[in-house]
Amino acid sequence: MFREIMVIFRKELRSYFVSPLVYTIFAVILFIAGFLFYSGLANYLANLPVIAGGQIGERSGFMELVANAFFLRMTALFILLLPLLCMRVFAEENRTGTMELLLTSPVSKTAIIAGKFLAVCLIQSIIIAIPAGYFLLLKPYAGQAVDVPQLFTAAAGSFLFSAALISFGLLASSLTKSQLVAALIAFAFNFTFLSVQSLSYYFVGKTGEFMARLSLVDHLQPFVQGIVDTRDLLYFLSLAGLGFFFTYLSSGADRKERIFSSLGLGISAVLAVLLINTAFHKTYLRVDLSGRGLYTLSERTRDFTSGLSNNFEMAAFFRRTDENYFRIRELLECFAALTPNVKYQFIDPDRQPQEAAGFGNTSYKVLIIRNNTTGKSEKLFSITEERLINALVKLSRKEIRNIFFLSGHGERDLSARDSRGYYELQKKLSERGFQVRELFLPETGSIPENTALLVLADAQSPLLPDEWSMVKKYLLSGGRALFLIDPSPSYSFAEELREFGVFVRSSVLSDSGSSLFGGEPSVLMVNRYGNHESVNGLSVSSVFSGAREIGFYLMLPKNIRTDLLALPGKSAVSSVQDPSSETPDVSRLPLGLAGVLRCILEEKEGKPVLDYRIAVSGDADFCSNHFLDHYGNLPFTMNLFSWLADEGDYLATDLAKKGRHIQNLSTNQLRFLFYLVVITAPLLFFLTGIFVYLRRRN
Amino acid sequence: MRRGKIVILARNVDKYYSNFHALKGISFELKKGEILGFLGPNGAGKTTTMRILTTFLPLTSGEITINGYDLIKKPMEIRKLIGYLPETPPLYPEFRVTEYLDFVARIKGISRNVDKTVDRIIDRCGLGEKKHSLIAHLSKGYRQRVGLAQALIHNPGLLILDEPTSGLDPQQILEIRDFIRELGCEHSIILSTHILPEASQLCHRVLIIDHGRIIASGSQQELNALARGGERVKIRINEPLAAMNSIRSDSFSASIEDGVLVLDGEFGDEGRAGIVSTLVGAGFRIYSVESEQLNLEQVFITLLRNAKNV
Repeated sequence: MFREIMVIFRKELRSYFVSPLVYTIFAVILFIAGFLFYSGLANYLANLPVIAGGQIGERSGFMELVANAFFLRMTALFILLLPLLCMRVFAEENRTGTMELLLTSPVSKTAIIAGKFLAVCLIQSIIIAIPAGYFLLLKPYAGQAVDVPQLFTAAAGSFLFSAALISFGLLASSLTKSQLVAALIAFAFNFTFLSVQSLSYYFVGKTGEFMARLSLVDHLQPFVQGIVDTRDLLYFLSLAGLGFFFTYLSSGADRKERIFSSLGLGISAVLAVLLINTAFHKTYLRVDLSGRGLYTLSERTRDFTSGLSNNFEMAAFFRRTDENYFRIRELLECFAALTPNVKYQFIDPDRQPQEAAGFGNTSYKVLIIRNNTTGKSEKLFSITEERLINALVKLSRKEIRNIFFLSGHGERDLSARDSRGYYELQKKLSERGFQVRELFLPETGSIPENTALLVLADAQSPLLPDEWSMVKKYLLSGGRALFLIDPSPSYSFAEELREFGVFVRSSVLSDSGSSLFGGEPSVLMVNRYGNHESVNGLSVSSVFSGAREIGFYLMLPKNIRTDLLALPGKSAVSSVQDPSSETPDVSRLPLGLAGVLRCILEEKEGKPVLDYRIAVSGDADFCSNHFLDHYGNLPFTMNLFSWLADEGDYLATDLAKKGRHIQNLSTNQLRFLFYLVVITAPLLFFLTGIFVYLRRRN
Repeated sequence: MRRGKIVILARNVDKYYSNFHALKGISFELKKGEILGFLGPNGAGKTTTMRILTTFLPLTSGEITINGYDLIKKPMEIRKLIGYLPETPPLYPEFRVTEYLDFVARIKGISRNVDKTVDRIIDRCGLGEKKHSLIAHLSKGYRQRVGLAQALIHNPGLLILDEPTSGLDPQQILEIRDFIRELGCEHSIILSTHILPEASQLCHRVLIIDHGRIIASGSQQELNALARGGERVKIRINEPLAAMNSIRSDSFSASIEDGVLVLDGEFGDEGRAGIVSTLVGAGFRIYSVESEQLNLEQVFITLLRNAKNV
C-alpha cells in the first residue's frame, strides 16, 4: 500500500513541477503573502510607540498583532487558491482517459486518492512554510517577540485547515471532466464552509453555538494562537476524512450510477462524523504551546477554581460577531474545564430576552458571574483571567475580610483621586472582595476582631502610645500589618519596628540609571525580586518613587523568617555614603526597598497554625493612584496584600504574559525584508517556472 | 505457444447504465494464445465488455473468470494479468516517454530494474528515437505505440486492445497490425475493431456484437470468406419475378423487395456484367442497376445463412 501511494505521489508531484501553473501559483501566492507580511510588519513598527505604551500593548504583542492576523488572512487566500491547485488532479485524468489506466492497474483506489492528496498537501505545506519562515527571519532582531512554538502551531493549523479544503477540492475534481467546473465546485464547497459561520449568526443559543463550532475558522483560531486542542484536530481530520471518503465514492467509472446508491453511505458518514465530534466535545486535551502561555490559566487560578465548592454560572452577554467573543469563550472554557461547578453560556440580550432577564441584565459586553449556592452575583465589564478569578474569590468567600487603613496621623487618603491618593488601590482591593475601611483608633478604642490586615500608610506623625500598644497586641496575637513608609518628613517607625527585627533607614535612595527610562533619579526601577512566594513568578519590573532602604536584623529567633521582596537597581545610590558610620552598623545587612517578616507562634504537626506577618516598604507611592498601574506594581501590590491577609490565592495574571514587542529593526533591515519577501521570493519562483517550461519544450 | 487452456470464461454478462441495457447476456471464452476479435458498429457494447474485463466497470450480473480468478472477488489479481490499451491511449502529455513508462512500470507493480524494463519496452515498441520527447509532441502513430508499450510493460498474459488501429494512417495501421500479429505469439489478445479485413487478418476468431448481444461468432476460415466482401445488386426490371427465376443460381441469393430484384453474393464487375447481359439476352428490360457493399452484420448473417444452406 505504501509503495503504491508513493508511486502515485511522485507522479503527481512530477505533474505539478513540470507545469508552469504551479510556479505561477507559487509566485502569486508568495507575492501576496509577502505583501501581507511586509505591510503587517511595517504598519506594526510604525505604530509601535503607541501600541507598546497603550492599553492594547498590555496583552497583545507582536505575535497577536502581526502573526495571528497574518495567518488568519492567509486562509482567505487559501480558500481561493486551493480550488486552483486541486482542479486538475482528477478532472484531467477523467478528461484524457488516464483514469482508466490508474483504475485498471493493480493499485487500490484508496492508494490513488491518498497519493494525490499527499502530493497536493506537500505543495500546500511549501506555500505555508515559506511565509512562516519569514517570521523566523525576524527572530534574530525580535528575540522573544517571535514565538517559535506558536508559529509552528499556527503553520500546523493552517496546514490542517488546508488539508480539509484539499480533500473537498479533490472531491470536486473527481466529479467532473472539466478543470473549470472542478474549480467552481470547489469554490462552492469552500464558500459553503465559510457561510456556516455567517449563517450561525442567525441562530441564537445552543443552535448558534453548535453551528459556529462547525465553521472552519472557529477551529483554526486556537492553532493560530498556539493552542493545540484535540477537538480542533478531530474536526479538521474528520473533515479531511469525509472529503476523502466522498472522493472515493465519486471517483472512477460509472460515477452517475453510483451517486444515488452512495447517497445513503455519504449521509451516514456525515452523521458518524458529527456524532464522533460531538462525543469528544466534552472529552478533550488542550495544550497551550505559545511561549507565553497566554491562554493557560495560572497555577493559582487553576488550584483555586478546581477547589470551588459552590455552583457558579457565568453568563457572557456578547454577540458571536463581537471581536472579543472568541477570546472570552476560550477563557470561560478554561475555567469551566477545571470543575463541573462552573458553567458558562453566551446570551444575546436582544434575541434571548428571557435568558437575559434571568440574570437581570439587558446590556451587551457584560459578564455576570452568579454563585448559585448563595445567590450573589458580580458584574464584569472587562473580562480577563484576573477579573474572573477575583470575582470567583469574592463570591466564594463566606465571611467578610476587612482591611483597615489606620487614620489620624496624616495617612494617605483612601478616597483621594490625586496622584498620591489610594483610591485605585481601595478599588482593586474591593474588587477582590475585601472590605476596605479607615480605622480611627481613638474612636473605636480597639482593633476590630475580624481584621484581616492593618495598613499604616505613610503616617506623618508617630502613633499615640496607646495606639501602638494596641497594634502590637494585635500583631502578637496573630495579626497582620503593612507599613508603608516614605522618606522624611514621613514618620519612620524605626523605633517601633526595631522591636520586631526590622530596620528602617533614614537615607533616601536615588538611581541615576532611571534616566535611561526617562525617569528622574528618585524613580527606582525594581527588576530584582527576592525569593518569596508573593513575588515568585513576577518578571516585570516595578516602580518605586523616592524610597528608603529597609532590612532585617540578623540573628533573629528561629521562628522568624524574613525575606526581602524588592531590591534596588545596581546603580542605586544611598544618600548615606558610609554605612558603617550609622548606628547600628548596617554595612553587612542586606537592604532592600520592601520586605516581609513572618513569625510562627504556634505549630501543630509541623504546620503553622498561628503566626504574625509584617510587611515593610520604604516607599508609600508604589501603590498610589499614580503608580499602581505602572508595570509590575499592580501584581506586586496585590500579591503582597494577598499574602498578608493569607488568602492563599494570589493575583492570577502573571504579567510575564504581557505583550512582547520587536525592539529594534532598522529602516534598512525593513527595506531588505521588503525586497526579499515581496520581490525576490516570488520572482524566483516565476523565473524557475519559465526555466522549467523552456527546458521541457526543447 | 500451446493453445487450449481457457483464459477468459464469461457467462451471461449483463450491464445496465442506469436504465440503458448495454450488455444483454454476453457469453464467450478465450483460449490461451488465441486472438479474439470483437466486431461491431459503434455503440454495440465492445468497449463496455472490455472495460468490464479490465475491472474498470463493474458488471451488473453474470460471471467472469480470468485465469481462474473471479473478476469480482479478485480484481487486483486480474489487473496484474491484463495489459489494456483503451481506445484513446491513456497518456500524460506533459511527461516524456521514459518518464511516463517509468510511472506505468511502477504502478503495474514492477519495483526492480525499472529502468531496464522501460528500455526493453522502448526497444520492443520501436520508440528508441522518441524516448526523450514529450508525449505532447508525438505523432498519433507514436502515441499508439506508447499506448501499446504501456499495455505491455509488465508482460501480461492477456492483452486487451480497444480499436488499436483507429485514427491511424494506412502505413501506421500496417505497422501496428504486424506488431499485434507478432504479439499474438506470446499473449492471448482480445481486440475490437469495426474494420472487417482487419479482423480476418488478425484474429483466430471473431465475435460480432450488436446492441449488447453477440449476434454471431465465426472462425478464421469463415472470416476469410467474409473478407472477400459481400455485395448487393439491385436491379429495377420490368418483370422481376420472371427474371429471378431465370437467373437462379447457387452462387448468390435472389429476392424481390418493393418490386426490385435484389441479389446478394459475390459478383465483381464481371459478374454483374454477366448477369446484366444474361437478363438482356432473355429479353428483360433493365431500367437501372445499383450495387452496394453490405454492412458487417448483413454480410456475416448472409455468410452464415449460405453456410447453412450448403
